[in-house]
Amino acid sequence: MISPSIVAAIVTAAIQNGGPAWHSVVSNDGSWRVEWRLVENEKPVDLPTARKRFTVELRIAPLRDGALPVQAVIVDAQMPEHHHGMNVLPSIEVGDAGRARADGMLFHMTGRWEVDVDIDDGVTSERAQWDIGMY
Amino acid sequence: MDGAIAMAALISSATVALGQAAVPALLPSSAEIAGSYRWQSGGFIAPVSCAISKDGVVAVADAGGALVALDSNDGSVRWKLSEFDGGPMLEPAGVTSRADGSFLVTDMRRRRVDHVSASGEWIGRFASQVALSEPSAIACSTSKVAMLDGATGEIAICDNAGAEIARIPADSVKSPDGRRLEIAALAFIDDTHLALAAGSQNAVAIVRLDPGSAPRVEKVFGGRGPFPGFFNQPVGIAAASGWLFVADQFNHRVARHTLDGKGQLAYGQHAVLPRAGEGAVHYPVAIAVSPDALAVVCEPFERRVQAYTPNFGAEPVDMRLVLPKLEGIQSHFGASATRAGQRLFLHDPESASVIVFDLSKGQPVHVSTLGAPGAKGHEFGQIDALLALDNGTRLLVADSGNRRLALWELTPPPKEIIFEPFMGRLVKTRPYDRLPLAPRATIASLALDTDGSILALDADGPALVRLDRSLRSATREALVAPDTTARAVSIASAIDGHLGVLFDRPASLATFARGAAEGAWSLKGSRPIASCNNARALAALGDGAWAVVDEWGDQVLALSSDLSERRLSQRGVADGECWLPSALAIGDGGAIYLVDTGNHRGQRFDGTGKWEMTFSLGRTYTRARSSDEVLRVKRQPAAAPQTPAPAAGGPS
Repeated sequence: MISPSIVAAIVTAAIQNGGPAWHSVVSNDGSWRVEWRLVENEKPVDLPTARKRFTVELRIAPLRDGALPVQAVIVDAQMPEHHHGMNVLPSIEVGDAGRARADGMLFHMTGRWEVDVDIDDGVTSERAQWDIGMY
Repeated sequence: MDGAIAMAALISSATVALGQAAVPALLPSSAEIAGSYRWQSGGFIAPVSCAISKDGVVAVADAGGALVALDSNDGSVRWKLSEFDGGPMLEPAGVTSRADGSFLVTDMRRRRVDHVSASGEWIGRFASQVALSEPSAIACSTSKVAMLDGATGEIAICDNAGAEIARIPADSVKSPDGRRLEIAALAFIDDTHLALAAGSQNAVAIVRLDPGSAPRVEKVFGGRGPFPGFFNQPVGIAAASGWLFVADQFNHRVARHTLDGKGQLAYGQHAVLPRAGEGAVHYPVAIAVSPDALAVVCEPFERRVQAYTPNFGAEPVDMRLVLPKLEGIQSHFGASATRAGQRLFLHDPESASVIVFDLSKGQPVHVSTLGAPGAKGHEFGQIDALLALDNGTRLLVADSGNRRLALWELTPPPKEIIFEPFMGRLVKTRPYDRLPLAPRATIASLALDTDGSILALDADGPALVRLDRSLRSATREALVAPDTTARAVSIASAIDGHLGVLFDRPASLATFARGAAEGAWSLKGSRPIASCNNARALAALGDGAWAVVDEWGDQVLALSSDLSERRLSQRGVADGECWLPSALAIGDGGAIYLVDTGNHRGQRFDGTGKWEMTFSLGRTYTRARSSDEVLRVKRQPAAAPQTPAPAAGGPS
């Protein structure tokens, strides 16, 4: 069964004419909208190539009034069925206006990957997550 | 016959006396290579530290309030000291032997270090001018004494007269990834090298102490895991004959390492049946090794110490990896429990995970496991408290290993009960450093206030931190606690809005009501719990009654509003009995779900204290088993008495 987050990502992409596009998820407590896309060899892609480095680009926007600015972002990925994460540490840059990017991501095997984005506003760190099916 | 063969012969036929039952002893693992079993000595409350003097006296610090000296030849008690200088020992935490055969012992609650002779006479206070809030671990070299302050994490280095000559700041010893190591134990390798064990970070650090210069970390090694060179909660350390010996608590072994950190040998094997010993090790927390080849291990989980003969000459080429036999191990439940709706949550400290049970079918069914060991947001370090929210669809975890609160969300219960490994997802975390807590304070307990907000107990205050359900707002609320040396360990909210605060030793229950001013609590009453040895957990029952878990007394006490006390269980391994119980949760209809930590199981009692079932991962049963059945002891049936022949003419 395809998870709801994958469906949402596919629908979002389809609305934007099917090409590699920005996808959108809401963080797990509803505080942030996170738009994301994958970039490989400096080109947006639907899926990364297994065992090749890629980038996750992020646009993070608050959904609640009075939100504090984003102070830090952690981007990571794991394979929940296999109880492991990536074999690499991505390099993360946080820019202005909620923009961030994680370079050096690497899915070293096929299967379901869960991408985790922890958004820290200086009080709590709230998670947004989505699945990427590498089949 | 060498020691190893003697050991094997002994073990093959030995049994361990336990009341009327007998526990088949287990073959040791690499004991015949690294160290052979010599003796064990029981009857302690909580042996947490040990030292071996040059005269062959083994001193054991019992956190229950005594320094006990054993004969190194057979473990028999030579003397016991439980009070001196006008007061009782409250919580001995560390002991070390000096060159002259005397001992230094720390007491965390008396906040002092004392000097005791080899024959058990109090000599005087030691290092009384050294600032130590809660002296815990202690070690001696030829010219120095190192003392860990359990409250601040600092290590004071003194000369033999007790004058401070150096101090290792708490934040100066870090792991390779930059995290501060929380030191649990220390040992001198020689006069200039101090070995430190950091349980939470699964690391050992070597610190160099040079006159005139600041202490310098030379090496940090370890990592979490079962293989040689790795640890799972190393909380005890000793050095002798060029080796480091580590009490590797959750790997249930003593590991021998080279001074540069190479894991080599281990002795002891994970005990897989309750109370198994004579070579089988269960949760070792401290170790002492003498140069003349005696190793003593403290196991508070089994209320005993064991002695080995370490084979200093054993070569690593002989090393065999021995993993525990899993049969019989169902669960390692830690000291937390919470329930909401039809979900019960417990935690497993050895795998650093939360276990989710579904209660809708009348018995706890394991339906998911959350988390894993580590520092990432969805991983856990050391779990201290759990709080189920929103009918069991949210869970708050107090994690002192990672120093944060973690809020999880779970999918609603499905109609059919199935195991769903991905039921939970992390919602958010809030670090302790962003809560109104003291710098090293932790959260000992969580409760839901009647207004729906979350109450977190800062045991050091004691004080409360009130959080909203989103963890965004947090305010500190003072508790004017009764005058006691006891620590606040658990809180619970009663339906009438009163808050119960449980204090450990001497055990007492204080009840508070919200004051007129916001954030103010007023003390409504305080009652001692005379029959309780070490109060651990509290839950509110109906009608103003409370349930208290007594960890050291192996019992659950029901405290009625009329001040009467009723005992619901007793020490043992049979169903209905318990060993070091640590937490409880109240179910529908007043049922009590008890975490029976020492027997690796949960038990359910009805509101009157009648045993109903025992459960763990993947099993539940409702036919009570005897001690023999639990311990798998098979006895020869007693010879049937001769039936007299009926008398002639009598009834046939």
